Amino acid sequence: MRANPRSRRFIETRNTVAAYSVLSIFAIIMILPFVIMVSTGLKPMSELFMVDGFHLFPKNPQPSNYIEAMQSAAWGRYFFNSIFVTFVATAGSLFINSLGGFSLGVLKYPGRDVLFLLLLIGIMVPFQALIVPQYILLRSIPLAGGNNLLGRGGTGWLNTYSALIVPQLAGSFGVFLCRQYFLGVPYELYESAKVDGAKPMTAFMQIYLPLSKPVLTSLAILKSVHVWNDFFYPLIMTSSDRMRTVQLGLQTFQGYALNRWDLMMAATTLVALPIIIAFLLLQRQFVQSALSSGLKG
Amino acid sequence: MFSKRQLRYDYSGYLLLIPNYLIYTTFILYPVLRVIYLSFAQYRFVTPPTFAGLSNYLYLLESDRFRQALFNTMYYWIGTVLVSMALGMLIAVVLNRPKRGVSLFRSIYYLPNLLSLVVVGIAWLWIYNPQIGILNSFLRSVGWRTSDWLRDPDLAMTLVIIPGIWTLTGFNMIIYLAGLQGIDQSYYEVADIEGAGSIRKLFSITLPLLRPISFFVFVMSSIRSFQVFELIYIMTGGGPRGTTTTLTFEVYQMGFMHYQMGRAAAASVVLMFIVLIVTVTNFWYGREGFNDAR
Repeated sequence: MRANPRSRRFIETRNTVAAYSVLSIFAIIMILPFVIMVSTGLKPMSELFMVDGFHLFPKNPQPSNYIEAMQSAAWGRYFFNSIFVTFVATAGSLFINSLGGFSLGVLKYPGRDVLFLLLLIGIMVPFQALIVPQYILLRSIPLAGGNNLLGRGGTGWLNTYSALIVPQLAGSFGVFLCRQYFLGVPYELYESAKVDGAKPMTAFMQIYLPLSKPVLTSLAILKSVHVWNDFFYPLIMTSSDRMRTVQLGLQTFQGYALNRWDLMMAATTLVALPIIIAFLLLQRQFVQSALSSGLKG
Repeated sequence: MFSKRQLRYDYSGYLLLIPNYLIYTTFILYPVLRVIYLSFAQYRFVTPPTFAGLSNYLYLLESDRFRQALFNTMYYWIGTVLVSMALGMLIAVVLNRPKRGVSLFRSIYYLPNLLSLVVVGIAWLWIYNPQIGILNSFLRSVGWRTSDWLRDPDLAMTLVIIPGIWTLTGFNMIIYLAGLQGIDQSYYEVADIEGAGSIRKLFSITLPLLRPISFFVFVMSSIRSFQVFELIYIMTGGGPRGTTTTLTFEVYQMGFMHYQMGRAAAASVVLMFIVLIVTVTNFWYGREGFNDAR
């Protein structure tokens, strides 16, 4: 018996098939550039130049590309720099921002709301727009990098880890997010702790910090992805090879190995890998962080 | 009661705020004031900045390069934001239907958003490669004309916009999907009872209810595309003939290639102003949009 084309069941099935088709086509388009990147990193040069036609996947995968790519420059150093800077900036900003959020969201003192509003300016300003004054500022940090007390004569914090870490610590957005979160915690919790004689810092460490795992997870993801992926800031603030992060390291291929796309793609894949692994392990948390990444109240 | 409250002030609140505020005032608040000051100054590093009135802004106003950068930024902005919003919404609406495989599809669509723009730029540079890139190989195999697309002034910006869309779509899709999941199912049940078809439901229920979300997505992706730098730096270096120079790239060039810090500061203030307009609008009108998205 033929299915009645008007039947509900038929329409349901048809719509589901249509939905999956659309989704699959989009998925292939979205993943293709990524697949090309990974597969090119595994191809031997002969396949790159398509001696016998084009194949999406390598016929003879050559994992040694990865080793060769990593040996082509000081990649150990670049990875160390990126991991170190990302870790310290993330850990530091989580602590400093949640502490600030606790102060602005829970504690009561004169001028608190003005201080909070003043902090919001930091959310509204695009950080690229501050690159000129920040560069001048970092260059003239007193008594650093050969500078005198007035911040002249040397290079200050340029080409140091401090330049890559310290300005990342004071995220207005992080404080904002933590404050909103703490506002949702019943105030009685703090009051009863206070009655028991707890100091604000103790209440923060023992009550609020353990409660704030979801918001801190989101912040940690946003911050670490941002710092790991950042290119503009380290490009301006560092110039020596010793201080390069992995994103800057990818530039080394544009000079010396113009046609070594195999090595460049291998290195590019490795640079993207840590974030991809973290994403695969923590998909739900990544989605949550995306939802909280806006500027909203 | 009132005096009791006063006594209960936690003055240590200032103390806990100090670490954050110290860095915030030093690296954000002070630079905001400083960049505004520098935009009215002549400063080329060699000598201390001197007050120069509006000359930097007048220079920008008369500079063809800057006007071009402004135009290019707007072109990139409209191209990436509109297309990635439409795609993101379309995918989310479709993705909201099936029960199985949603998280797999969602992950695939979201992945490009997590790659650094340097990685994205390099991947697409390779796709566009004139000799052995996949795009030209494909076009050649079907007998089309191939060329070094990125050196074509008429095409270059459009080719940079495509990876821009590629990275933004997943983010927009995630927000839309969350918004769709927040829509009360009873609307659709009523529509079913009244015999409304799926197209009708899309236009009469889904889209109107998504409007606040759309606003939020619009603001978020606008802010990101106004700041585009890496794709330009990696893929075109601002060329050919300045057709892909954007505001941020212009700031970089004026400040750190030509050491015209005053002009770079003025261009930064323009960028800041544009983003500020969008952000402030968000603060005024966009709040409910986000709360719905959660």
